[in-house]
Amino acid sequence: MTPAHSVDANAVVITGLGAVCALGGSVEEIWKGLIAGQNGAGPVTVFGVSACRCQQAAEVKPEWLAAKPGSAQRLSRASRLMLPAAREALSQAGVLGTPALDGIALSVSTTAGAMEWGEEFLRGLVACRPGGLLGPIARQQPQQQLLDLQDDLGFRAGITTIIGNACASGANAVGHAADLLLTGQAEIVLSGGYEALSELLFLGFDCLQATSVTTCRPFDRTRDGLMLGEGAAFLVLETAAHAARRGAPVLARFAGYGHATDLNHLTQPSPDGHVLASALRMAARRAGVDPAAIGYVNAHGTATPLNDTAEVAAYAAFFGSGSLDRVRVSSTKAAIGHTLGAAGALEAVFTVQALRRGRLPPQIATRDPMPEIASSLVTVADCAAPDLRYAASVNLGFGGSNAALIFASCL
Amino acid sequence: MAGRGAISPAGAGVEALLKREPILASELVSLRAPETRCYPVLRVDPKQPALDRWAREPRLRRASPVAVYLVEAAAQALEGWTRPADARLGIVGAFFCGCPAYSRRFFEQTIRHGQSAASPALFPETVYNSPLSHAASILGIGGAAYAVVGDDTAWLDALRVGATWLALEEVDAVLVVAAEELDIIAVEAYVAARWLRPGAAFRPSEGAAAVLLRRPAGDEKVDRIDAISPGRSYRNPAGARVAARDVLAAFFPELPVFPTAGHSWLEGIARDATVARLGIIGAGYLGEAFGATAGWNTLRALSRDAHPPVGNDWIVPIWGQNHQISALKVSRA
Repeated sequence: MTPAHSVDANAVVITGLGAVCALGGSVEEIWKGLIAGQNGAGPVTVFGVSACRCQQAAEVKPEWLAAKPGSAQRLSRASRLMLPAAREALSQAGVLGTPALDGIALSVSTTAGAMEWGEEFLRGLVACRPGGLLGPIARQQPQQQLLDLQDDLGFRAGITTIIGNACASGANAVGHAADLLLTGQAEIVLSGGYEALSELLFLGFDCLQATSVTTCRPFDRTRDGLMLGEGAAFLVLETAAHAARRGAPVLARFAGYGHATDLNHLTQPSPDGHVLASALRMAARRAGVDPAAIGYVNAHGTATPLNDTAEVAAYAAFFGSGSLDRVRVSSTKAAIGHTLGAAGALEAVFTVQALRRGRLPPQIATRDPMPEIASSLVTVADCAAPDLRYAASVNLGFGGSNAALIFASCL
Repeated sequence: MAGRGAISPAGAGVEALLKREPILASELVSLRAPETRCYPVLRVDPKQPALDRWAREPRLRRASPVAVYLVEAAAQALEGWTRPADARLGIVGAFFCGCPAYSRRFFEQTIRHGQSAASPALFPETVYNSPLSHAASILGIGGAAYAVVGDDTAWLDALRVGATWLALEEVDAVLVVAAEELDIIAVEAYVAARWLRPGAAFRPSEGAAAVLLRRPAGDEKVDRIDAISPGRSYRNPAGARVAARDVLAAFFPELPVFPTAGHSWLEGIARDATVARLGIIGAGYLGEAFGATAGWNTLRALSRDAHPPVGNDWIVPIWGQNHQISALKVSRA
């Protein structure tokens, strides 16, 4: 870790990380699992899936969910994922329970909020269940999880932005947090994403035949779909000047953000990947770095046939097809599942961890890699990256959302 | 503010927002079959020419009404703007319920007929940003596009996102659109929350409001959004009262207030919070369509015909129904 005063005062820096997902209830626990090549896949237990094609997901263990006395009934699963991750990030940044929380901006993402309560509400109506329906529906919408967060942390005022850009939302939320800092609208932002497994989402991806019925294996020639997951992740972003005033240790520097919209189709990316390449170019331009300086990409890598093809094409266009083998790439979705609205935030946390630790999350489960990217995929045996200076995290989503984040090492 | 658009129960266009005659409520039948309870709502006429013109648009053939409202309002806001070929245009959408019609249909089918009845045709249209995606495709917006979620104050969050992109010079202009559609699942929720109850004047509503934002050239005289206050959240009526007081205290006391609380549960709190300020005569009640209502009120506050001349600067409070209270200051050219 480096003191903030060694960074340009106008820069945006990361001072806190927090995460919960199928591999653990804290950043370090998850990181250990990722580097060891662990896989969070398991049977779905939070709702029935007997009539579904796919039977597995990457669920979070109950002991990692927030569980204050009496809170389990009051809080949605989404909030119970979000709260420990947010607390961990704020604690690492040294602002938990301090006046620095007053007026902290929130830039947060989700795709479904507390969908399980919306499901319960509809079931109650269809069954003509008398009364008792306000409880579930009153806390279903995403802004209610933000209220849970504000209640838990004890603040009320500040800019809030909830971004619902499907699977790119998390990256958008982190990028927007940096934009708020760069335009002087905030000095410190808690940014991240969360998503709880819900039956509606699971059935949706299952009926689209987007989920794998075997093993999720990104960038594999025989890949057959994604594995859904759940989790939450938060980053504390602040101006370097603000961090320096607080004496906060800097974990990494936020370097650049790019985003673009694919007009090709509601659910299918342009096969040539030009929109993701455009988002990467925008991020690199804003970061002031050449693509050659980027040593690692935490890929979206859902393991659906269409996504991975478009993504590899985008990397070839951005890095140059002859230079692609120089870049290290992995998709952590094989280990923690596709966490939708949380994905961009979780993967941003992993990218910052890679810069801090000089190690890269390996690509697990892939046995027969796509030839275009085979030499770039990180293996368990070869995940050291001591000289990593710049790393990117990219996401694509339904609706054509594409986003790229670039982080820089402070070492 | 370089362009404006609206679709509401009063009709298409910003002029329709200024009508004073009351709109007749229509009814939605409760989901609690075999009950025959009906709820009064204010609806957009789907057969009007402004909406019918999108019927043959491929991206909207299977889309939910909210997407059509959004596209129409956005297209209106673009009408007065000569878009340079190389102009970078962004779009921000603000949503409260998102796409409740398709979400309800998708999940209700699985409740009634089993998980194998899940429809791949419906699911993609349930996603918050699907209406925005359709609009981006139809209007040719390949750059920045965010779907912002929240209560009525999501309109202000969306305006702030647009202003941020302009400040960073990542775009030359930004469409900000709030859109809402009515479906019985949403109305049942308002009944459960007792927002809609016998004898109350509150009416669920639907439609969209849009503005086109760009940087003014030099000292160009245009209608402006001068300030957007950070929201202040609340959990209960007492908290809402404190939030209203704090938000309005950030503005000079002599600034008049455009009335915006409608017939929501916040009406009394709004009245108490603004009683010391000069009020402006509002327009007819269009019902509660959350972000879209906030957008309609912003457009009405900027209208030359909506109120007597008592200066050019106004506060437009935004009474979020279940998260926060916020306000913006508008300045007429």
